[in-house]
Amino acid sequence: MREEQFHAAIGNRNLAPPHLRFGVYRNNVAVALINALGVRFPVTMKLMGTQAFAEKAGSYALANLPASPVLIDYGSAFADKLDAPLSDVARLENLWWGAYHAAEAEGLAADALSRKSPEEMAEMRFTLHPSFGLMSSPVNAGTVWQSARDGKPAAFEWTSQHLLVARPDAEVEVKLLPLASHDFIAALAVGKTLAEAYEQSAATHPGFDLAGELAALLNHRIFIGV
Amino acid sequence: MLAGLGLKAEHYKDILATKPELGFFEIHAENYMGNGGPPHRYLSAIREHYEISLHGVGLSIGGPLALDREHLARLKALSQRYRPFLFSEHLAWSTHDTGYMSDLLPLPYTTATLQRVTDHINEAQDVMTRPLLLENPSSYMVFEESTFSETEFIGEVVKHTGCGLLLDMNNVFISAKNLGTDALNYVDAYPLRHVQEIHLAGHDVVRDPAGEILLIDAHGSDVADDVWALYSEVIARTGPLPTLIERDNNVPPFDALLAEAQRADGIMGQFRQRAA
Repeated sequence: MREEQFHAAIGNRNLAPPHLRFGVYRNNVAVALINALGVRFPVTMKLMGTQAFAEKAGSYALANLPASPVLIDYGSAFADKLDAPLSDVARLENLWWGAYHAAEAEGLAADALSRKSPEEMAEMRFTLHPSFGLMSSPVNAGTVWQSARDGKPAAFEWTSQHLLVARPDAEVEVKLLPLASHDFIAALAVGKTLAEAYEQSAATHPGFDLAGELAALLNHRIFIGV
Repeated sequence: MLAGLGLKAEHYKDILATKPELGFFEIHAENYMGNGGPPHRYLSAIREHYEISLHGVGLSIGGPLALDREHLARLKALSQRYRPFLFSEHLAWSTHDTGYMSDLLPLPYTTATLQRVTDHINEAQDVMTRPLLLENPSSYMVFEESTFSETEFIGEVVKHTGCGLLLDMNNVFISAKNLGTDALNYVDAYPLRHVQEIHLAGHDVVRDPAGEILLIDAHGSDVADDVWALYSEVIARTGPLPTLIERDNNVPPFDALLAEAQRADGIMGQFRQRAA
């Protein structure tokens, strides 16, 4: 076997193996990438079963090799290749993984807004913590994820859940949110001012409690600047 | 103690709670290339108590493509942040035209590949401003165009780059079995005086399609007795050296790995002075 035959055959699995033992290399590549996806999607793997996960992850990986040796950045699109509702658990694991590896940042103090005038506050736009992630699922994706992690499997149910993922301190936290809170944070996250986010939330969610929502978010330390 | 262990996320808390006596922890550089979070927090805390060695798996020194400058910059940033006492990479390649293969793939040993490897190591050492230790690979087959033996090739690389060496005993053992050569002859021909670190690991035993025994560098089991014996032979000649127990799969409880590190330390205790 020559080097150019090796390079051609490792890059194209349709080519005949150029050596009796060449399968070792093809197998090692597939196993390494399946393992990398297993590290990123441990709950998805648990729910699918190791064998089914390996088949799905293997075909994804061989069609989508990593672009860089930093495997931390590899595999986010795998979630989209899975069927609903499991794909929502994988999406949650993507947010968790992103939060786990996100840059450090100091959250705003709980009293950071106490000296601002109402006019100043209305025009404020917030910078969210680098670990911040938000998702909505038509199923109980958060409950299924947490239960599987705890070793007490729960069935999927068609009750929607809204989830906030962040690592304001040492560990990643996943919180279930009411829809009103989700919509309010989502508005702030896309750069709307506090007044705009409030007006939008109050219009769709009668009785929306601005002071309470804002205090909860400051308390969770997911704002890092205004 | 000169023996060390690979740093695994599942052991972070045990290590900080018990602070066992160990020479060092080795990190896979690529696992610490995220922006922040628990990996960096734990590593920083562990670094306050232990030496760290930085072991790259993705630089692709042995491949025909140019080195990835961004990746080198990431390695340098880790080196500056954690001040490792050793920095090592592999005589292998992993980045292909189609993407990153996440495996240590082999190269032939020719005048052309010697130039390629020499250029890559010189470039890496220039950027890192420190010597690189080059690790010998595990082999499952040979290339027909090779004109150097592996030990000759490694000797030439050292001569042209001034790099140091990381001698992986498991890889020596695996390659000798798989290629039908003699591990002790390999050690005899190897430029031992440039070795600054040793790796010990477990391997899998399978059969190739012709039914022949094939050893796979799997890092998923205890170090084999034959590899321990080969290690003793090397330490008898080199004297004690920083020695890593590598375990990447089927990771056992921390104490089991600590026992293997203590076994390596016991062997080194028998050969205090560097014989060469």
